[in-house]
Amino acid sequence: MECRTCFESLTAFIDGEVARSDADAIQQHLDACPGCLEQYESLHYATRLLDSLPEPYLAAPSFGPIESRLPRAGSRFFDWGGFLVPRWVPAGALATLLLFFSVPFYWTTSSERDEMERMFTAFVEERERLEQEHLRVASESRRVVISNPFTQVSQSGDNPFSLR
Amino acid sequence: MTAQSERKRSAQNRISPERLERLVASVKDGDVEAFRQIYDFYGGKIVQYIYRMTGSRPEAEDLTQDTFVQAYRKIGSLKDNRKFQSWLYRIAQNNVYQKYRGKQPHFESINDEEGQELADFQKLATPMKSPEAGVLSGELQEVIQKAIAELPEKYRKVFVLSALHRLSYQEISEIADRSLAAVKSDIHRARVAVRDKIKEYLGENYGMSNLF
Repeated sequence: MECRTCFESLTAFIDGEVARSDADAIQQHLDACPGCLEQYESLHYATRLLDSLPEPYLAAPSFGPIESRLPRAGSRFFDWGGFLVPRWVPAGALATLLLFFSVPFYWTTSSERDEMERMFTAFVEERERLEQEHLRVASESRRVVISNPFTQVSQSGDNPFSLR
Repeated sequence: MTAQSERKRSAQNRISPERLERLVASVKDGDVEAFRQIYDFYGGKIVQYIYRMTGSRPEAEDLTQDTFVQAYRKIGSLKDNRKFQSWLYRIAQNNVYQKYRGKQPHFESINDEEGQELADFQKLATPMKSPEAGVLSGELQEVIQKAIAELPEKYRKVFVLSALHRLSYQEISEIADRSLAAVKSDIHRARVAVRDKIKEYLGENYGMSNLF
C-alpha cells in the first residue's frame, strides 16, 4: 500500500468504516511506515478529543409548540406541500373533473346517437325502396316470360325450330 | 475498542432499531405520543446538528421545530421505517439550505452569557472524560465551532455528522445524497482540516502541539 492511499483511508480506519481486508493492509502499512503512523496517531488523538467533548450547551426546544402545529388525527385537513387543505378537496376536485369531462361526452354521444338513428331510418327506407323496385322488376320479368316469342311462335305455328 | 466507537454503541442502545421502527409505524397511524418519544430522543441531536450548521441558537431552535413538524406531516412518504434517522437529518439539512440559500451563516460565539450559564451548569452535572478535555472544553468548543464555520459547506455537513453525531458513512451518504467514496473522502479532508486547527490552537496557546 502506498502512503497516499493509506493516509486517505486513515479517518475511515479510525471510524471503523473500512473492510477487514483493507484494515489489515492499513495496519501492516502503519507498522512499517513511521510517517503514516504519526498521521494516524494525530488524527486518532483529534478524533478522541472531539469525542470526549460535551455536546454544545443547547437544549432541544420543548415539544409543546411543535405539538400545537401538528395536524390532529381525524382532522378535516391534510398537509399538501406545506398548506393545510380540507380533506374533501381531492374528492370534490375529482367529481368536478368527472362532471366537466362527462357532460361534453354525453352531448357528443347523444348527437351521434341521433345521427345513427337517422342513418338507420334512411337505410331501412332505402332497403324498402329497393325491395319494391325488385318486386316491380320481377313482375315485369314475368311479363316478359309470358310474352316469350318462342311461345308465341309456337302458338302461331311459325316456330323456326320445328322439325315439321 | 476506541472511545468513540463505545460512545457510538451506547448512543445506539438508547433506542433500539426495533423500537424506533415501532414508534415510526405508530406515528404513521397518527400517534402523537409516539412522535413525542421520537422527539425526546432526536430533538437534542437535530437542534445540535442545525446549530453546528448555522451557528445560531435561535435559528437552530426554530428550524428544529420546522423539521419535526415537517417530519410528522410527511412521515407517510417514508417507505422504509429503518431509514428514519437519515430521513430526519435530511429534512433538517434541507431546512438549513432553504433558510441560508445563497447566504453564509453567521456563527455566533458559543460562550455568550446564556451559553456560559448552561455550560457552567453542564460542567457541574457532567464529569469530563479526560483531564485535558476538562481544562480546555469551553475554549476548544469555540475553536471547533470556528473551524467548522470555516469549512466549505460540503465538508462542514459530513464533519458534523461523522465526528460529532457519529453517524455511519452509509447514513451520511444517504443524507448528503452522494456516493460512499465521495463522502469518505470529504470526511477525511474535513477531519484533517479541523485537526490542524485544534493542533494550531493547542500549540499556540498551551504549547501542547506535541500531543499531535
